[in-house]
Amino acid sequence: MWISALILLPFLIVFGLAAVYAERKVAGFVQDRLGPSEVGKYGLLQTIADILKLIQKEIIIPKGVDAFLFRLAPIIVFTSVFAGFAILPLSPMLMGAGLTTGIFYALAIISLDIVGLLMAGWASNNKYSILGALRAVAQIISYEIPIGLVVLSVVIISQSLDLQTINYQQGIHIASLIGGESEKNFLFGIAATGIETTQIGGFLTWNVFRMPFLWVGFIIFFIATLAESNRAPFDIPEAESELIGGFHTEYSGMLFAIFMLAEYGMMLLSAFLAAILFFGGWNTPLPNIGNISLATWTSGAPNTIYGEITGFFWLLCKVFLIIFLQMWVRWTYPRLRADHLFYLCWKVLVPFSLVLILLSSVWKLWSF
Amino acid sequence: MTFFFYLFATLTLLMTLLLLLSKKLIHLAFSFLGVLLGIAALFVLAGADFLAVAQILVYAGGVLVLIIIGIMLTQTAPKENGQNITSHSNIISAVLVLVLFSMLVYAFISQPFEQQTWIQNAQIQQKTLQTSTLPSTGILLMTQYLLPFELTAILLLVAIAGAITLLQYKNKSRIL
Amino acid sequence: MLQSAEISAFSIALLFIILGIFFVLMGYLTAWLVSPHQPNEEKQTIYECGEDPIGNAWGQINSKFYIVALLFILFDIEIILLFPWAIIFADKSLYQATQGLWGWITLLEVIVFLFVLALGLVYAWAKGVLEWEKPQPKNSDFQPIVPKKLYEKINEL
Repeated sequence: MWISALILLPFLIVFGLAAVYAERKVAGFVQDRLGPSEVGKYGLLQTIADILKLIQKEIIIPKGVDAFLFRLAPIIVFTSVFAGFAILPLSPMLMGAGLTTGIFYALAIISLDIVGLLMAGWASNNKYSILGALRAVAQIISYEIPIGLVVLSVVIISQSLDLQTINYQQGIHIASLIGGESEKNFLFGIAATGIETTQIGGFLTWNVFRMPFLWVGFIIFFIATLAESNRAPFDIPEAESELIGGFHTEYSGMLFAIFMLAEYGMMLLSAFLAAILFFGGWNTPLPNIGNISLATWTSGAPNTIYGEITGFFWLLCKVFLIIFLQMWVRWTYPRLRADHLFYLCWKVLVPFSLVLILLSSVWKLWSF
Repeated sequence: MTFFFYLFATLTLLMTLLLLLSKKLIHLAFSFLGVLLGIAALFVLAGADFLAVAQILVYAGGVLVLIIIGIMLTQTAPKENGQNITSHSNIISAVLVLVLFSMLVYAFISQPFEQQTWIQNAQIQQKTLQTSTLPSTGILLMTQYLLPFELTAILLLVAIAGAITLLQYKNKSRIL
Repeated sequence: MLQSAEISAFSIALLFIILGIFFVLMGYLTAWLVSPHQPNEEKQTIYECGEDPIGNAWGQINSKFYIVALLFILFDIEIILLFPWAIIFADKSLYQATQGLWGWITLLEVIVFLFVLALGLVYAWAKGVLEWEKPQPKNSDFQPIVPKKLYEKINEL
């Protein structure tokens, strides 16, 4: 569905504007102040004023930088993040690119942004930029390992890399899936319990309930994606108090705006992936209870307009909840020290996710 | 299809040319990114989707970063802007490259590609191109190529041990 | 229309890439049209806390970054090799054709694979590679004129 490209680009831009505002409001309330409140009602127009200012700012290319690579770096960073959006299914019909390699492709294309970061850091010819870029790369590539392993354990449960298939499996519309006519969901994914949840749906068929250990997987995924998008408490690459602005110290105006948008795009993408991989994607959280079929009422069948709207609605609800969580964490926890960062990744998250792979494969085989 | 093939082939060749003609080592590394992406696109057009994505993940996301960091690690702080690649033996390398190139061309020409059985099979069973290569790769890895699969693990283990040995040698002369 | 479903799916991914590049270039164009261009010497100095930059930043870096990248590639290859297994090991038809043997045997094969790599992780752990080098704080040899007792008096307040 090529149309999802035309939906997602404006969506990402609007999201960027709204998220900066939301971030500053959340920060304000966390720190017991109001946040932006001057421009427009409740400061609603603040980020629009900000982006207009950023566009009008002079793009300063300092002497001694590698001017071509300096301009190329934001393109690579933004494009690699945006290309990751290609696989996202937004609703039953808007299935994105529909790659068989789905999530695997996303992991690969997102990993290209570290090349862009290195390029930005190196081209700036600034000591802070190079240090920031190297720290960013060391951090991102380390945390890609737990992300890959956790995604692998979700793939083991769902036996597919295609996110749309993963979505269908987590709801009452599983029979609409090609080859899924005889698929059945059971409570906690185990047939031996004898409680079939295929028609109950709701949160009971989400991946975190089909295999309860995936709660741990979600926590690992959440922490690792925070690190992947360089957000506090993992913002060592751009730690203001020691590195000025990290890899984008020398960037100004539009070039800087693109980096910011890429960072927020990364947040959005990781929230989408978390919602789809663990929390049922566009499926409703409300289960059918006896005659009160809440799930059927709140999620229309695929290929109907009602189904599209409800699907999109539930997906966005989950995504915004996860993004709120990301902001909340950012303004609550202090920055991690570099050695703690690597301790957390290699000695906590990687061993735990390796065990998680074994657990979920055994769980899957038992469930037959 | 054919159009896309020529497009990406040209892109790859242009990037390779850029790589060869770049004066700074770091430019060479960055134009390598273009080469890798072009090759990945060619893999996709050949129906090898798993290989294409793995290529991006390992080479563009891993090996390329390793190369760039390696260049940053070994470069000495230059007095002027940039660092030129000096080549002392232009003639020898030119001769070597020409010999290698003519050998490759000869190998391509002398090979009767149309008579290879696997190519004939692929032309008859066009179905292989229609579906993803991922499930069949998985089945083959678990059955026919199990030994190479397990040997890869051993190889990776040895590589980890080698990397750790490298780390024991501490580089004291650094500025950052 | 392209022949294979897989290739046409990738063409949508290509569309995303082209759209992304196009968007950024449009952004550059807008900024170039709207923003002023008045470079001067001070503006174009590379930022180094207000001082003139000393030397060039393109120097040698710490080797620990190289090791992290090396470790990443090794584990990355591991993940890549596990993906094809992950989507077929509980395949219904294969599972039923072998009375469940297929799943358990491939799981065993992968456990051997993971075990060997976990060994690598344990080895790296034991060798202390996974620890980030901590800078050792140096005690300054500065002798203050003010005796320490005075500071202690202030701290008591």
